[in-house]
Amino acid sequence: MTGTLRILRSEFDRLIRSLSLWIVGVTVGAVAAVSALTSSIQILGQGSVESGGGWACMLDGMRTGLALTVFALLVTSARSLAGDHESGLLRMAVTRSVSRPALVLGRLLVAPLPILGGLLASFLGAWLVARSQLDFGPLIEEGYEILSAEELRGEVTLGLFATLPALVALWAFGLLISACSRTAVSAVATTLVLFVAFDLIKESLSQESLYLVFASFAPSLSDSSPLGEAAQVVQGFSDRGFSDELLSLAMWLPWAQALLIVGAAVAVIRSRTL
Amino acid sequence: MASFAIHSLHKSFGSVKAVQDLSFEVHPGQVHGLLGPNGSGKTTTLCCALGLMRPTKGSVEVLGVSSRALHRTGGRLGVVFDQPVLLKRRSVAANLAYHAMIRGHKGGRTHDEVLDLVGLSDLKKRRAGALSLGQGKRLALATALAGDPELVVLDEPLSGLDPVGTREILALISKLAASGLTLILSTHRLHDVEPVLTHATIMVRGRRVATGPLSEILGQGEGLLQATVQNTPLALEALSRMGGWQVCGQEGSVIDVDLGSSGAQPSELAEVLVKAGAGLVRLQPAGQRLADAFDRLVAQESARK
Repeated sequence: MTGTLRILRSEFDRLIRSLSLWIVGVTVGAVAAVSALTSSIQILGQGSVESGGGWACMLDGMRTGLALTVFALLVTSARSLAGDHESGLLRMAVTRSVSRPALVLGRLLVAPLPILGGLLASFLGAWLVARSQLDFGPLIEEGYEILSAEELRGEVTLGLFATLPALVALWAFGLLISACSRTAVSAVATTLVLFVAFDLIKESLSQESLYLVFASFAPSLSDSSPLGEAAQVVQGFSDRGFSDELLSLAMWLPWAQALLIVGAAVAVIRSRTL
Repeated sequence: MASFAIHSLHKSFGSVKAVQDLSFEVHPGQVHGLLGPNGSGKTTTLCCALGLMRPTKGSVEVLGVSSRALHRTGGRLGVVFDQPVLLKRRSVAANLAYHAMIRGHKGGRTHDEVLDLVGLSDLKKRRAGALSLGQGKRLALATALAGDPELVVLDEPLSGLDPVGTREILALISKLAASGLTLILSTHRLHDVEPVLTHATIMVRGRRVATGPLSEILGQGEGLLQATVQNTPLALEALSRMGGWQVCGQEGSVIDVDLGSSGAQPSELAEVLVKAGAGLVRLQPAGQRLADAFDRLVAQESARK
């Protein structure tokens, strides 16, 4: 356990000091802001929304920011073990005070930092723009209140909470590919190709795609995340939201899948030559 | 108890036998050289010993711990790999701090003491990527020495170094050896490391051909003579006609002859050369250097094959 904590601490230290990750964070925020701005122009142009347009505008920005965050998470986690294998850091660690499983577990535990960082950057970028352009009151269209502000806030919060587990599982997926790869470049390429390939075909897989919940429910190019569903609700396009069944799938299944994936990554790291 | 013990180690890659039935021990206070030409299995041996690779057969214990659980040595082991493992964008001091974070073990030498020991105190704030190769190797050694290691393993510590860098690293190794630290050096630079070694294991084609105190390894060539002659071809022909001894080297007019276990006396060898008209100028015991012993052992191993 102490080895896991040592790796967690050292990885946290490296992420915090990584200039490129700060640049990615700022980019995520900026892209979320631009997306929110585009959305606000559209909403204002339509003129049908009398109040509460800020929610949809903010969610559009956040979805774009989080989609970018997903790619940044995949690249960072895929580079992690494979890159350190190349540089010799893994060898160094196991000859000091760190067990092989701790190499993976420590890197898994550091996941909340980039995930929350991406979430915060997306939120700030989108919220600042949405707040400056529109209001966060009840959703009123043509004089009718469709949803109250509290209901809208509840939908957005639920969508966010249901999206986060998928991000943790995606981070674990990147670690598994990283554990199997010899170089950082091949790990990153494999991870991105697999994720984008699945993203492109998941619509046609329909129900079967749900078996890979972590990839199905992550914000991406073809977004079917809980946050995407919440966006439909706050725009007044849907009053149903996520079904309870899908919501519980999104909330719990990714954790189990993340554990399985990490177990596989530990098994690979235990048996491979470092 | 041995600080480092390898028992009947075998490692194969498919049909290639990289290490075969290797056994040796390193005891506290020794400076032990794991020597051999490129491809002799030194690095594979170290990889198995350090738990980086699974041996096909055999076992390794480092500081009383199995090689697959070296994390249990609790920072008592320091390893310096061929390529220094450094965070190149960070300063010398930050690299030490990072390695300390992973090592976890507190106590022992402070970072300032260790930088002083390796002669990098003035470069504390310099980026690791801006260091020369020699300085980088010294920093890597510093990361291994920080804390309180009992055993330090150095894989090819002199590779890629110029004469100045080589001298610096050797001086540092001598200083560490004098302090009583147990060291294992894996290298093919025999001439350079000979002055600092107390013990050695010599490997050829994955097999151990000698192990023990350096004095014993050098002493194994007691029957080695060096003959200086005027007519080398004639001398070589005469020597090859007579059995019992073995010509194990020749450079110009100087021929190395190993009487080995033939029971022949130097006087008999002199007689043969004189009778052959080779113009014997001088016959003397060969000055035993590690490189000479190594050549002899390699020749014996080749002959055995």
